[in-house]
Amino acid sequence: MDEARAARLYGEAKAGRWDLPQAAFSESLERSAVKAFAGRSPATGEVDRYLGSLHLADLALACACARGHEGGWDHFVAEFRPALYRAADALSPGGHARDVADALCAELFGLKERAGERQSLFRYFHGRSGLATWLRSLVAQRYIDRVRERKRLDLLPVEGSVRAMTAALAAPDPDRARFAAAMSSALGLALAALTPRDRLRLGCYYARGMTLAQIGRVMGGHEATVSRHLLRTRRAVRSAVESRLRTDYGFSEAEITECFASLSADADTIDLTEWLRGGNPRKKTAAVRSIQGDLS
Amino acid sequence: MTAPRSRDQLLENTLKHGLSSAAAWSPASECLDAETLAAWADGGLDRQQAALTEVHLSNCGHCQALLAALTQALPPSVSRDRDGTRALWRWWPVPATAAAAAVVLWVVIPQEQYLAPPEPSAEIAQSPGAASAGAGAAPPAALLTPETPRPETPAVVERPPTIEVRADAPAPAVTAATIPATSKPASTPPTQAPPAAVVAPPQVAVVSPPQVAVVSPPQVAVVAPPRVAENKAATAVAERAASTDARRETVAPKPTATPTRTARAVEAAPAPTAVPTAASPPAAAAPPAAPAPLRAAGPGQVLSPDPLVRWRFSADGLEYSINGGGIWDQVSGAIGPFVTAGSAPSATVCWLVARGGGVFVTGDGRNFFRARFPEITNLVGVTATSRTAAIVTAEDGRTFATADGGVTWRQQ
Repeated sequence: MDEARAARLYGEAKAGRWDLPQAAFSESLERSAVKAFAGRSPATGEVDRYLGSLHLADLALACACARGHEGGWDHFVAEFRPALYRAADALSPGGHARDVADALCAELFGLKERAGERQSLFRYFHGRSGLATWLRSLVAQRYIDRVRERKRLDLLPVEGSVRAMTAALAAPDPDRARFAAAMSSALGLALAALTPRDRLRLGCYYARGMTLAQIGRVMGGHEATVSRHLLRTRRAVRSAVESRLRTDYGFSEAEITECFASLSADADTIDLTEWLRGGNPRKKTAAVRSIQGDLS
Repeated sequence: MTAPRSRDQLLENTLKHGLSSAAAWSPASECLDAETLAAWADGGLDRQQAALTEVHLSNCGHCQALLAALTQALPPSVSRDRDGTRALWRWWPVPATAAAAAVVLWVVIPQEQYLAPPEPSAEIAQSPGAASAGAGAAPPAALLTPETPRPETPAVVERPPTIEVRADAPAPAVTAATIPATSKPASTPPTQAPPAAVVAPPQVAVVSPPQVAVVSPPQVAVVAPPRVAENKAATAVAERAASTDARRETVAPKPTATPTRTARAVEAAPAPTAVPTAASPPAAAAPPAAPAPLRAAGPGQVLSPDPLVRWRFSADGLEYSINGGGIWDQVSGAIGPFVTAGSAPSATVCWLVARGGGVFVTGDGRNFFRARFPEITNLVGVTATSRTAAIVTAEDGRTFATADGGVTWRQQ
């Protein structure tokens, strides 16, 4: 990175107030660019645009904290730690995620040492998001990891338990099984044919229970827009399912209705994993190939 | 019609279960790290990277869970564009439109209310079918069901749609017709009504006696044809109000309350000068003291000097509006369903009288207190000049005055 550009960005970041050496700040900028343009060599203008889009002040603060600057830490503790705790409380209102936030603070400070140097988590902040958002993302990730860890320890239903007996007593009905299988297939294909954005919206809403406002916040758009998109996507899915059942399986309207009715009985057992995992292989590959083609 | 709707519901149910169960796996590709996800959420990724991130997110249950947790941890704030800039610039038309609408309402409605000659009117409760313009565009409730516990939407208490059909005194008519909210003029001057001009949509009004506030000719309600030139602006306002309602209902994400619409244009109809009384005898309609002009905006409504502030009472209770009847809020106070009349000398002071000697007064518009009244008698009229001074009229024609906010009364 040339000196002039580095000095300009250093000034924009107001990194001087943390006594941050310009070389250290330049190094963090380069690390950020390497992460963003992994595996390719961008044009100069592209790099300029990228560096200009960074949250430079936050990056400078992160650099200062990683280096153990006292003033930087004071500022972080005063400005960002409360936000971290609020995020933890939002994840677990009973205050059960506070320890996650505390552990994260310790990692940010860098308790582990490598070659005599503290390894602060701040080194992984690249300025592509605000520091507060990054911290929230970290605490969310740690919290999710902890929840998963605990779930792994949950006991499986033992033989003879209510769950196991309910599953075992499911009455075999050839028609219903046929309809459910057809429905599962048609629904999986319909979902796989959606655009990733539509599928993500469905997943956020139905699987994750996010509110329309939350979806709109992270995906861009007003909650009313999200509502319209969801409605449209669901209609498209239903239409695709009906069409496939009609054409591929030759079902009549009454049988299609039976297929939908089978959903109510088998909703818990329908597994869309394989469809989402594989998706529509041709379509998915094409989508990724297209994006990756743009990248190269 | 039933089949697609039930299919929709079944499909929704399946999506919930199916996507939830499928959300516990992760694709073969590497999951997003916290920094990338934060950058995506903050719009810090370029278009290609953002697209790749979305592809992964759409197929990865683990990362969707992380995204959901991140969203939960984010503070409530304005949404951002994909490029990370705040989308505030998109909202500049909102205050501008609101200001323009307020000016139009200020110019059109109050003038009509003040200039319109006194005439009897009859309010006829009508089935909500007239508001079907908005109801038809509403999103399915099933889609919105998970939204119910969410606190973002303000709970607006609105009354069921009521459509007022004006009874034209000089031309007693023989049919009752409902008026769609979109075509109802805000003001209907008392003109001769040729039968051909009577607005007669297919629906027929259902007269519900308990809600008829003033029964001039109880059997009939006819609509005088609006003068096109005079009522053009008012009609436009009414249509705009109705379309706004329809639009709001279309995007309404959380049906926390029963979605009902208030026909605002109808409520802006010219008001009789006399305070409406549900069952008062003709003598009570003319109290000894000259009634303050335009204190009532219609049956069950009490207007203040500020045309945007008004109260309305019905069997459901008392409601208060500060935007000309657009939105009604319930007011507190143990006010029974027997209010018969009201008078508001200012935008914050309102006196109400009720059967059985009930006198209620508020000094802030919202909190009513019961004033002492010496007799248990049916009160049918009130004329107030301030928070402390008022004259009430009993059913038998006697009048009582107070000058100390209802502590003491003097029969006149």
